[in-house]
Amino acid sequence: MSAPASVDRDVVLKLDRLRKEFVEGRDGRGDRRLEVLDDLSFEVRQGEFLSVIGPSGCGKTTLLQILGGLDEPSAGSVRGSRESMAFVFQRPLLLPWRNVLGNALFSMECQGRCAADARGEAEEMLRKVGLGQFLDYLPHQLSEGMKQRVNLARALLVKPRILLMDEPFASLDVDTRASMHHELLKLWREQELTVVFVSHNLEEVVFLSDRVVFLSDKPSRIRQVVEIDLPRPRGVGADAKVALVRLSDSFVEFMQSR
Amino acid sequence: MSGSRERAAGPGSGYPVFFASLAVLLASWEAADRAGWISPVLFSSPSRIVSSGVDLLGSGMINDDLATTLAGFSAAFFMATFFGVIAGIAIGYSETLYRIFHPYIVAVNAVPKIVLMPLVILWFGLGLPSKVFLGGVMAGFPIVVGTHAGVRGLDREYIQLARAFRASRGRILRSVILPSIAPYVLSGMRVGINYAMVGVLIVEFFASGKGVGYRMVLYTQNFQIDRFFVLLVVVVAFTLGCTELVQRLERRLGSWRPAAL
Ligand SMILES: Nc1ncnc2c1ncn2[C@@H]1O[C@H](COP(=O)(O)OP(=O)(O)O)[C@@H](O)[C@H]1O
Ligand SMILES: [Mg+2]
Repeated sequence: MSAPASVDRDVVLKLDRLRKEFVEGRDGRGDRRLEVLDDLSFEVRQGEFLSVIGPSGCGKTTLLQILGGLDEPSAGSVRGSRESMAFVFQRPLLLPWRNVLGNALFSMECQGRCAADARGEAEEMLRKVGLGQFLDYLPHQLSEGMKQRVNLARALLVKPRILLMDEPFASLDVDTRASMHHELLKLWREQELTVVFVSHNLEEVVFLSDRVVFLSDKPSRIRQVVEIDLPRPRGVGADAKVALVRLSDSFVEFMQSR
Repeated sequence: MSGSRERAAGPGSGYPVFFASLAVLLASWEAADRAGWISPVLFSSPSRIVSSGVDLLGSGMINDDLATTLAGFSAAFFMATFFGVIAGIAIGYSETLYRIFHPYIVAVNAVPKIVLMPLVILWFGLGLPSKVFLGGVMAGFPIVVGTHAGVRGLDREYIQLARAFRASRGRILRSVILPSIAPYVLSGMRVGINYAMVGVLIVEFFASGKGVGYRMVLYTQNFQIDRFFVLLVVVVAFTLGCTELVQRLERRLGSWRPAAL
């Protein structure tokens, strides 16, 4: 009796038979239809780190944009509060005429907050992501990793409960990516975030996630949902390493068999 | 490569060479005049331009004309900027508007505007409206083109980003669109300054009883060539000053552009 109710309370996003197709050509009178998402249903639980993985072009970005309300589904529904979401796009998308601080403030400004009030908060968040010394740097003076840190800080400054991340570390080198992983997990814990993380990198997903949703190639369906109940922090002890390798192997097999 | 260009355009470094060449030019001109190689009826000399300038400007007898031309220029330039920016943003954002209007813009831009003069006077008469129309139309094109280029160059993903943070339309305009197109708009305006001035002067040449253009024609007809040159110097100094002002603003607001300068 009480079990389903408590499960429901824990669900922050619920996708129900979500479909998406793009119609090529203007005014909807085009004849070429591209089915991208086909009948996706899953739930995102409060506080979890959920990853969505699938081949390139399968509709991961499209899915995330629908979750965030930037695009409409062709059928089906998403339930959940959009006010509590923030995006981290694949490209850092820093405004080139604004410095680090100005870029971090941008998200709050978009929500109508006065920059003067928000400044202290923005500085603190930038310190948290390791950019305390670079507040007045312009984007072209930053490395890719630093840009992604600003991108992350900017998203977190709107105090989201759900963070939607679209392959945010795909363009980073291995070392930078690893340190971003640690910071992201730290912030996830500290800010009690729910993260929906899109990726096509198996290792990364195994290291970060509580659950992984596997999508097939388009029109993409859910192939499998895997719980990763490895203890955290991961990737340190020998046990965890073996487990990681084993999980990665089974994922690789899975990916190859699709 | 860009370093040397920056140096040449930067304050200070390029000027001594320029001033030296200007001094040589003026000195030879003056010497040629003193030697009697130049007809004083058809041409002037630096010293006579200066003394005539002190006379003409000091007496205040052409203040009215200066004010008239300044008013015409300002109004024409303002209208060109106002409508040029709106039109540039509109055709930059709407593919449909672009398809409809761009061919006309190209076609009308190809017309040498001076041939429109008789029609302009028929429509707008001899006063300010004619100047605003002709100067405005002439200055408007580079501003439309510049603004359009700025909007086209703007990465749409920035707008998506702002929308993802639930920014209002007004906020997107103020925080994303305007700052990113500002340098392009300003470079269009910089080019537009000259066109607005030319448009206003042409109307005054042909159809006015007042203004710097009117005076220039009058002085030439009266063989007061020194005075003509005084006005020429005033016009050139004014447009150069405006251009320099806009260029500085352009550099300041556009310093983030990697290809700036
Ligand atoms: N606005 C759009 N119009 C038409 N097709 C689109 C649009 N956005 C994405 N697509 C197509 O949908 C498919 C999925 O794209 P996307 O969601 O970006 O994939 P992923 O992020 O998984 O690489 C691609 O084939 C892409 O070409
Ligand atoms: Mg994508």
